[in-house]
Amino acid sequence: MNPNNKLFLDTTVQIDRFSGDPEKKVRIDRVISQSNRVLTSTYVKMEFRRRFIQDIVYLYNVITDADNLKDVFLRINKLPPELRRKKEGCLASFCRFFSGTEEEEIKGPFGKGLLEKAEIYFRLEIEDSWEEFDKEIDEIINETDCYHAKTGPVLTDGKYYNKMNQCKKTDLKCRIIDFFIKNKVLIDKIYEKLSQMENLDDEQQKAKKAIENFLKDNHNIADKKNCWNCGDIIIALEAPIDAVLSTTNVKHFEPICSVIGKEYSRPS
Amino acid sequence: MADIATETTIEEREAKDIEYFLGSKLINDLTEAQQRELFSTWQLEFPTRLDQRSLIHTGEIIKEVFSLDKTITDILDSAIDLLEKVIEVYDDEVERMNIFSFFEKKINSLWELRMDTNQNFKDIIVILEVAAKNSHYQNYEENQYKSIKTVLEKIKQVNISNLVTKECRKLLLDSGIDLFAPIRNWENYTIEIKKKGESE
Repeated sequence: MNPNNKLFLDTTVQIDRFSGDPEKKVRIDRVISQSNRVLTSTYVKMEFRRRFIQDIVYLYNVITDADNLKDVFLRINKLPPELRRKKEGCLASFCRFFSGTEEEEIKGPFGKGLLEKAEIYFRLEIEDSWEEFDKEIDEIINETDCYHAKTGPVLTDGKYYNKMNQCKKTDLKCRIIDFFIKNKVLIDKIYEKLSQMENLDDEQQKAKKAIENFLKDNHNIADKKNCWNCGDIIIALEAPIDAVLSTTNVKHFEPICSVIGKEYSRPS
Repeated sequence: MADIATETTIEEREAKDIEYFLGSKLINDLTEAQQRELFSTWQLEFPTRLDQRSLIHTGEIIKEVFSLDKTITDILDSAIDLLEKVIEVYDDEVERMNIFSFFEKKINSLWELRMDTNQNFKDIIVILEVAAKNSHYQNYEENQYKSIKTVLEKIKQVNISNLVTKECRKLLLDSGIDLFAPIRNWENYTIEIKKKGESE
């Protein structure tokens, strides 16, 4: 099936390399070490920035404003649950790691020293994870020439700035339109598949709608909302035909890969 | 090979390091007589320069003893000594972990002395603490202990540059030390905010 033993890492696997639990890390390290060639893409890098880096940037910026860790907890607590979970978990895991106790439950209040360590740690984490994205990667595919993968988080006035400006079809900075036109036959197949599926989840419905917008006018795909909503489709199309796409998001990749003839697997 | 006697010496040296540090904060504001009295309270010999020919103390105060840099350098030196011992006894896992636990204490001492160091030095101390604590979860290979030792050697000048901190982090990451370990268990932990006195 995969004589070249090529592995293409999607965003979920790239994020798990930096923040997945130790067992996931071992599994990912193993599949990477068993591959002859490891690939990812600039589009994956943009998603990595938009999801993982953005969470850590939020944490760091909140920490720099706070007088104590309770302030940070309270700020995170105000976020909607779907945005809160990972940030809260990262901070809790950090406090647990530095607490120096084996107890399952650690009771606060935590001292100023820990807040100072958190500020240092999360600042370095942003820098290191952005720079280490390419580690052990033999090739970064650049089919879309994603603009937001070329820039990165910037430390300015003591805070990290990671805002990704709106992509507009009137101010094109990438090759996403060409990429979609080049892959139109496969995109039609994916659209057909999504149309046949029952009970599409929210993300799949958004992806289907984005393809419809593209089919109406090719340039619409350069609009940020349409492009981002097609993330899994773009990544599956970028993965070379002779590579195995490594993902933990089997639910979304299975229907896409099945119609475009790409092999995928979950790191095990 | 480290023995109990060596370890006791390490503990004593550490206590002395802290005393010197606290002393350095006070000593700048004291007269020489007060300084001598303080050292006598600590039952420490007042550090004056030794005349090399007569081998008699000249009474000239050795200023370097009061320098924070020197205190930190001394701790770094003993941390490097400990890591050399760790590497020496690498095959004896229990002995290795015993000695490494003293190294962890050295890193904690360095953090306590952070106030008068620059930001880059503080950054590295946090990273070294991650590397030290992570050894509870990741079995380090000999080359990983060697990388930590190299980092300590690189930061001995205390006022290190941003470039040196980057180089040190890269060295640890490239050797396979997981500096991302502190957040890896995010799925297993959560935070609960309770008002004081609220029932469990």
